[in-house]
Amino acid sequence: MEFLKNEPKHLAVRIENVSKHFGRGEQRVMALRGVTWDVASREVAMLVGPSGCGKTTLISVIAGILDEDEGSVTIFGDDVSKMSDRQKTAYRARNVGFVFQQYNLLPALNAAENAAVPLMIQGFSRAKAIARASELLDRLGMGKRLRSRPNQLSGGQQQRVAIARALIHEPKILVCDEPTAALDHETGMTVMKLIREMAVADDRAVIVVTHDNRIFPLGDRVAHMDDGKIESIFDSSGRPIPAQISEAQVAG
Amino acid sequence: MGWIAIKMLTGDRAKFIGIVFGIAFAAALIMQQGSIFWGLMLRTCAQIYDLRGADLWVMDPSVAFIDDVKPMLERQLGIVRGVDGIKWAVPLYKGNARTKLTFTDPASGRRVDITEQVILIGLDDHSFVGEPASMFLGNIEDLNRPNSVVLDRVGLRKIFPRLGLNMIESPGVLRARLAELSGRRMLPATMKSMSGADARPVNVADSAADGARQKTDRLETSPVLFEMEMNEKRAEVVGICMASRTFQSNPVIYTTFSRAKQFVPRERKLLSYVLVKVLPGQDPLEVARRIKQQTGLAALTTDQFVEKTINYYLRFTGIPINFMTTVVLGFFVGTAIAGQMFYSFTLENIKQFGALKAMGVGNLRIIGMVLLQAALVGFLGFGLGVGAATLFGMANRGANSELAFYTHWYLLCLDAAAITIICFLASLLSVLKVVLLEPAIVFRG
Repeated sequence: MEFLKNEPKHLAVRIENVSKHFGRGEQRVMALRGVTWDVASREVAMLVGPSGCGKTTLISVIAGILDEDEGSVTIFGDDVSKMSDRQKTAYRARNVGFVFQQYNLLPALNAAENAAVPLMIQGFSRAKAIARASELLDRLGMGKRLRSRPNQLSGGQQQRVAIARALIHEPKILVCDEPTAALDHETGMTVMKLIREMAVADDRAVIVVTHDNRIFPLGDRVAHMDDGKIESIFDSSGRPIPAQISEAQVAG
Repeated sequence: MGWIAIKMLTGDRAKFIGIVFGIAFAAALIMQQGSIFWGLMLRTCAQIYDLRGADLWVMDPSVAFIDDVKPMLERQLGIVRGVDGIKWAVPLYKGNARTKLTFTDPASGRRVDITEQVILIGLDDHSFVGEPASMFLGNIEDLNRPNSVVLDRVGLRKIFPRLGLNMIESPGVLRARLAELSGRRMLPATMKSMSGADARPVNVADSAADGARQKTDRLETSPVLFEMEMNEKRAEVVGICMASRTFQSNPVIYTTFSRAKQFVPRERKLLSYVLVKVLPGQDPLEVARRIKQQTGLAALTTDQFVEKTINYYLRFTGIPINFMTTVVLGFFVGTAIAGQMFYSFTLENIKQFGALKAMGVGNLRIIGMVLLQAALVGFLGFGLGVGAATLFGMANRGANSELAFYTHWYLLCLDAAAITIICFLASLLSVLKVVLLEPAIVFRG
């Protein structure tokens, strides 16, 4: 597993032969065509490809917010494909963190309150959740902007709040959708480095959808998608590597 | 999550205020129109409440409401008195009369003739059962004087609209003003006696000497406020009483039953109602049943007569439809404003709702959030609307007010139910929108 910057501890995500279509009849569009892909823990996996190639559909399926038509998605041994909608909702609340391109912070809440939302979803008291969110934001360099509303923050600051929100409940996978797209290069790199530093953990995998090839070096693997399939996978130095990771590789 | 829902709602001040305003508008309109309707309905039976003291009203069976007088023969009074369980039964005349007054217009100094249709009430000559609850000026006992009548205060204002008679003036000022207008002489001693404290009714037990003395002092101690013609017969107004405003708002004139018969055209049947008091321990409903059985007349308690009167107005006049139209309009306008703004608010926050769903907030909790938002704006809008309607009512209240306004607690419940439905309808589209919302929307740029 020399392509990974960090030694993997577990097989975090296993996607096997996943297909997904939208529409019916002549309108039917195949978004995913038998995708197979593994992501290890402590890994930052990047997903790239042209618009409409199926990246968003794939991370939606991985995150459990879209149902696949065929195949299976297993996250740390849990077969998400077999879960009911209610189970998936509960699973997402506990195990999935999201960083969105447009941040999607709640405009009425301040930074600390926004970052505390996942804990509140899990039933934490507001005070406790905000206290923990404040600590995390402080570690992300946002200690002085805890009470600022999203419209009072720069894009980079908003994305830091979004990262805090995504990590506050210590999810097993972190799904980042174009986290640097709305940021200038320098801020984007800073944000991506933060994700790399803060998110990578023994029992967590990070999947980043991006068009920004300048951040590729911060990933462990870059998977190229086209027309609903993963065409190729390279390590950060550009060497091709297989889509699947064997148990032996993880254990090794 | 409730806290987040409320923060989301109140975060957009303009929309929040807009939604609350829409609901408040509906609540205020429903409450205000409902209260006016209720007030009008109460006016239709104001005289039933005013003519107090009796347990039962006995009348011709075909009477549909208080003003629908079907006169009876006076011998019916005696028949009613013969029914078991009755303590007393007294006659009541209720009808219309035409009055004519001549006064001096203070502005021009010219004499002015005023003709007015009035409601004439003839009370039992001896007991005055059904007398006004209170006198503003003078004494009810002065009805014992020949030709005497008592006029209600609101009616006085209607009789003198152009003469600038301000009804909030004190009784003393009013007496002086009436004397000035009618050209009657006012002596200081009269002022004192007219306040009511020293007034002494003519009593049949008075000695002839006392009577002669009273006649000598008549000018100083006369309780007569002014004179007028009633159906071309002389009437002396000896008091101004407080009476509820009637539906027709005609002035109400009280006199005795015997005198009322003199004022109106002679007819064979002049007994409008018989007011009955039942013996202690007797059930009025049972006595009413007996009266009906033995006399063939209808006997109703005050509440039953009120209900009968209101039912008549509800069924046979267009009043409820007119008010209901406005209430329904208010309901739909409120629903449209609140619904449109609430839906627009939801659409503006659709990505946030999507993000919450992606982060693991289930549909039930999302519905709970939307309903909580709807409940909050509903509660605030209801409070503001009811408050505004109440202020409107308070600003126009008072015995002299032209506005009929009465807020019954039924109306509060009805308004609350209407606002609940408005909020439910307003949030329905939003709930559907967020429930059907695909959380994957958050990944679309």
